[in-house]
Amino acid sequence: MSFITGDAAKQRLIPLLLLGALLLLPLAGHGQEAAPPEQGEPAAAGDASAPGTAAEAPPPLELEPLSSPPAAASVSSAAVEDVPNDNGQALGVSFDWAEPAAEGVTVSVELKPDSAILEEFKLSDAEQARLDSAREKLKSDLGSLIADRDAKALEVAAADEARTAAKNVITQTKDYAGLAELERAYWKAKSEMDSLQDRIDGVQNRFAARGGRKLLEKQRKYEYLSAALAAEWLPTDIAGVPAAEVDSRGAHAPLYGREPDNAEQPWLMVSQILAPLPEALAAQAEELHSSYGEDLAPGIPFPLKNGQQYQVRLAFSGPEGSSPALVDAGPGTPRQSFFKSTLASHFIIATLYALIILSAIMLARRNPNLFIRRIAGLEAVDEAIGRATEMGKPVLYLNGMDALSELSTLSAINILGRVSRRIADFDSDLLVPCRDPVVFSVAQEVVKQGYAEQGRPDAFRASNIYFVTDDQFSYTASVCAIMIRERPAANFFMGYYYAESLLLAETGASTGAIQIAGTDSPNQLPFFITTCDYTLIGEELYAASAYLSREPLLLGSLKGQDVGKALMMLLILLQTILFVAQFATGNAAGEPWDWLVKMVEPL
Amino acid sequence: MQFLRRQLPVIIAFVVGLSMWVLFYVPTQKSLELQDGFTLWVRIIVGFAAVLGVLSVVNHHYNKIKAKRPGYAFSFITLGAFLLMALSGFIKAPLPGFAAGNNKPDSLHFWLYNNMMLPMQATMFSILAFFIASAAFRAFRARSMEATVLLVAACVTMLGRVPLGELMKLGDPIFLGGPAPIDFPWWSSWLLNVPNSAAQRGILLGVYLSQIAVAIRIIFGIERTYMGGGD
Amino acid sequence: MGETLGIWIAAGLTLMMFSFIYRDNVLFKIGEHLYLGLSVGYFINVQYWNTFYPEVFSRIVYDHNYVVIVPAVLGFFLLLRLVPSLSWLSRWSFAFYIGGFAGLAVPFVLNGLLLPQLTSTLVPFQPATSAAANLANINQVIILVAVFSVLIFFFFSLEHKKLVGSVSKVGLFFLMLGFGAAFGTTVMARVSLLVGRFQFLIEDWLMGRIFRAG
Repeated sequence: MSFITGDAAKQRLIPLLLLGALLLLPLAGHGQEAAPPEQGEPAAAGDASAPGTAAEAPPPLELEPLSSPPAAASVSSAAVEDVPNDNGQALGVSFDWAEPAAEGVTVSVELKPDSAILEEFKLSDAEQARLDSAREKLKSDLGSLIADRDAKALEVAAADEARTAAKNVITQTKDYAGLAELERAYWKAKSEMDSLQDRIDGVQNRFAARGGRKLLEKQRKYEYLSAALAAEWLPTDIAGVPAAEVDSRGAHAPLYGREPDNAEQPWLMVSQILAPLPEALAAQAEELHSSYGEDLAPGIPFPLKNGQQYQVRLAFSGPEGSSPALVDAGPGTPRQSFFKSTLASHFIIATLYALIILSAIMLARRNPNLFIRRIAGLEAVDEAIGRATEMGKPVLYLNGMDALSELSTLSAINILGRVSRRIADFDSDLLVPCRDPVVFSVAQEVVKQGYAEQGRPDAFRASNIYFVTDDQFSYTASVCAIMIRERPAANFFMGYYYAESLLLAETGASTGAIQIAGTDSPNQLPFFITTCDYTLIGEELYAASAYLSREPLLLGSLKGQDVGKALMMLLILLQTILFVAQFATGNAAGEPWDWLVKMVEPL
Repeated sequence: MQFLRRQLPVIIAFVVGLSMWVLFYVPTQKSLELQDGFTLWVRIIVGFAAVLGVLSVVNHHYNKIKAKRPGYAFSFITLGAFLLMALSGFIKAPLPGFAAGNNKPDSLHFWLYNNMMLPMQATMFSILAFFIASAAFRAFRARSMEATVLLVAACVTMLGRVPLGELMKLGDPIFLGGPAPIDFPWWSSWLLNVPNSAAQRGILLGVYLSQIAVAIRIIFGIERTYMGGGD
Repeated sequence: MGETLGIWIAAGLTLMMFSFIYRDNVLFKIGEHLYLGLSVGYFINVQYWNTFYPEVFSRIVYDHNYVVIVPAVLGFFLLLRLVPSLSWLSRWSFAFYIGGFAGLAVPFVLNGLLLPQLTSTLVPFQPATSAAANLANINQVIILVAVFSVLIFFFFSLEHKKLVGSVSKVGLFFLMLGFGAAFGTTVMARVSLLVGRFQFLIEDWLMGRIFRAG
């Protein structure tokens, strides 16, 4: 029951003032900085000084140029491998330093693909003809629009600069009329530019609708790639990596597992080749922009292809005065995996748990009398609904703030299904304001079904289950308003909540309603516990629909969950015993005895 | 017909659910595309649901006005604001002083968002400060063992986070390297890092087990409240 | 345009929403209804411009990608809820949506949430060489006791009696301690939000617009 019977507002203000005094008194000397939780950013000041120190560094020593410059780096071996557990679009390149890399050495990986990868981008004659005619149409539709828009954009920029300059000195000049004139000029130019842009967009969209855009993309890919293939070795997404930042297999547990062989060996993963802008196309850039509104990309990335062989080489470039070193790593073929072997143990755990749940459900079918401990919050459901009926007031039910994709929301919906049946029995009104449109649709269906099953389809009022808004605080304000104006006698807060939990529950408490909350949001639980009469904590929310329905199948699943939990506790217990044994035998300084943890450790 | 209404949805949930589960363990490109595809498809479905939602809001307020229920005058404000906000985003209105395009920075739509929606949002959020005070007051008046523990922990944490608390430090360390009996910042961070994180872990471990169980119940068609029923 | 007008309106609306603290009143009612209408209008725009236009319309019309017709049809089935005789079709969409997310949840919750929480609970004890190590070991024992007792507290098959009852009491104690700590931390964050709102009213509006002191 609510403690507050008098003027809730006053009660809210008194403690706040006390609290404010407590908090603000010591702040007096600190200014307002102390109040926000974030501290200042001293790091920024440190960064700013960094360039200064760099500038003061001594100039590099002048060395006499050697007749034949030394190679940038010396590498003892290089090999290519297919990366395991991936989608077949990556190659791993490993090598060893023959001698430590000098300062400033960078590594790049270059690939030579087979020219067969061009095939998929080649346009057929019919496609070429379609593209040509679509481009012809595009050019004539565009006319001088692009040039006009570009000219207008310059005008807008100039107008913007003028009005900003005027605005900055307005307190001195007081020339408000002049500023207004400049503002008008800016908005006039801007709206003209916007309407030109709209016309361009319209033309471009028609070009796309004719299929032109898709074909053009394909053709450009062909042109970029064929020009790049002529140059033989292509750059990749691994370009200019400093020697100190070279990757290793050990850092890629999802691919190689927790403790791979040669975990620390220098290793790089390539997943794209980059085809640069061909010169022939670059020469037409101006024409393509003004006639077709097309801006050429400086390069197009192509993901490596599953099952396609690539020649791989490493290119090291060093500090000034050394010659780049090229190391052949041989051919490699990326291949996709069909099962993530690194997740095998997790797959087994998931399957095992599913089997436990399903067999517990099977068992429950045979022996439906299962014991489940009392959950006070759920015992109170009938009391709450009963009181609402007595008082002739509605019941308010919230499904939480999350979408239906979250299981907590789904649980709230399941509980709603049970609660609506009781309400149909008691014959009181059920209000369900929703924040998510999908939740709203499902809630409507579920409540309708609840009333139908109790033989009261006539009592169901679809308009009582409605969508409010998607905005967190607008929703909160509206629901608070419902609580104050309609005075529901019972409020249910089920599902996941954020900061608004307190606004909702406090407002509800101030109206004197019985409040039952259920959430698995650990940060909001304290507020529900202090302001609601009953609170379902964490998994009680998920057990509630089984508890209320007393359906053997659902209760069976609860039993299965308990088995799963018992196994988990056993694991915690055994591992703790191992750790204690390690500590007690004086081995605590050595390798941890965490064999059980290793079995379930996530990657 | 009964099959289409009753069994087929259960089959759809089973097939889609099991596929999404298994695909997690399959790293091929097709599998990645299917997983991305699912999220895209869901976004599209939600987009259509949004239409239902908006119809629901409009209907709710229209009915209120029609039936002249108490406070129906305010429903005009809601409907008017809705129309203004929605239309300003859809229709290109070359209003003086605003960008002509809809859905662009500088447009009326974004002006309304920045100068009306945002301040109201921030204000509702900040009202929480008043409510948290009254919630504390409420906890203070509840005379159960649990409420007392909660309140004491809350006070210690709060004091540890204000400058006043930092000034108060009393007594010698209880044991070597440990805290003084009164040292609010120390106890505040200890409460957060030890009991709070342990309690959260206990709650969450159970919650996660339950979530997986609920998901399995849905995939295997044991839990189907969400589908409604009957016809 | 409208920078000054914007600040005046924002300040007015801020005060209107604040008036709720005192009690429900006409100003708050106006603000709340206005906010509601605006947010719904904004919501439908976001859905249209971020989802329907780029993902459905543009994909079909400009990219000739016809696969998205399938989810569009599933979405359309939801609209059929407005036609009572066809409303059952919406169940296919619900089943697709909920079934798919349930399937995603199993491996995601297990790998991303459950197992990381479990393994981070299990930390080896440190050799008792320093006071800091002793303290860490004591904390580790407390964490294990707390996690264990909280798990027992939630056990559904066991009645809270005798040994289980006492262990659950310990669990409840830790829960309350933890909730208290979370409560105390949040108080500070909320007060700073309030300070931020007053800053806007005083600096941007009062000082900047009324007294023109800024």
